[in-house]
Amino acid sequence: MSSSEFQVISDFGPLSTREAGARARSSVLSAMEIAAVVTLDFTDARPSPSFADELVGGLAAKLGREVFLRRVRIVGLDAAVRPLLNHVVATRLKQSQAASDNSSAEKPNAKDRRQLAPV
Amino acid sequence: MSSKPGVEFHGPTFLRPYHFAVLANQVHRLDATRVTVPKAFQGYASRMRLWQSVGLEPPNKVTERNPGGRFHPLSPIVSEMTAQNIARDILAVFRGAGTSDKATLNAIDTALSEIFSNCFFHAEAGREICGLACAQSWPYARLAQVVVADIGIGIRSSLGANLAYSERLKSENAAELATELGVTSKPAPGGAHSGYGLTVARQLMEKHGGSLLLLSGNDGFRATEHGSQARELRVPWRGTIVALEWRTDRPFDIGAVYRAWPKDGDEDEFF
Repeated sequence: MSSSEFQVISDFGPLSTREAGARARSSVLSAMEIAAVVTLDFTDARPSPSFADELVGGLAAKLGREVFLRRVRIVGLDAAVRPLLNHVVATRLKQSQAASDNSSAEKPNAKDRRQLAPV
Repeated sequence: MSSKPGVEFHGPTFLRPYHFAVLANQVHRLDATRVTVPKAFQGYASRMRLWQSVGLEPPNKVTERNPGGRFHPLSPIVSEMTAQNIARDILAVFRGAGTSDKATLNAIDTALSEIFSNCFFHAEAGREICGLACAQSWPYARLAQVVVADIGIGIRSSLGANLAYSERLKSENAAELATELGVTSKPAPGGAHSGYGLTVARQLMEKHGGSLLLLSGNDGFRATEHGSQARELRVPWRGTIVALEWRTDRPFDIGAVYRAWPKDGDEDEFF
């Protein structure tokens, strides 16, 4: 499997709207169908929180922590943008975890399922 | 003779974007067919497109001078794209006024993009025009003001759609609540909004000597570097008004805003 690289500023700009961030996320997910690792080069990129949330936070939520960290490389980050990206990833992963926990809590366990089975 | 109302304006002697945004929205709300302002202000009001922004003819024709570096006239937000275009055009005002620092321009662009997009996504005005935005810089006073206002459902109703805030809204100021990091009426995964816009705008102003004024329904909130104040408005505004004012001789660092956001130690360090 190959790797793929995006220059965030030129491939996805302008980096301000949720819509643009969602489009960028779709492009990255498409690239991941054939590439083992996708690199996002943020050199000179100053995304808005909404864009960063949709692109990077959205990828983390979709892929899960382990796959996201293994298959998405982020390089060229400016010191001002780094805490934003850390924040959107942490927040989206926590939301996904909470949604997953809630979903598990609502599912009946094996014993409950036996009791619920029609006789 | 039209049965639609007219609006006569008796206002302060020094007009800011705030006044134009409020007046134009009120005209829009009433579907007024004429607006009368004191003759002394007519030229200025016309250049700020007070009439034109809501589809009316101005009382006098003015030469549309290039406003570069001075102001951005009232502009309707009708889509996320127009919201972004207005943010970009307002940025040109500050470039023209002498702000050349890239980090400062990026911070202004980020804050404006977020609050103008908020207007489009959350105002729910039920009309083609979601809201109106305008800006002015006063180079000699080294001061700038940007305002976006709408006649939508207001912050309290908007946040009320998220049951997570039901209890807090019973006792708290909705405008202040909306500036908290992560507070949104449309959370992910269903709504896919994350509540960054007003937080970024507030914290950017607080950290750099500016001010955020937020008025919605009966809820009023103001934040500056000296502290914040929430209060009940004597005259409610049906909709939402966001006004940012700052000194143009102080550079902005949006990284300082992001670095101050809470995190759970090293676990939240991915990059």
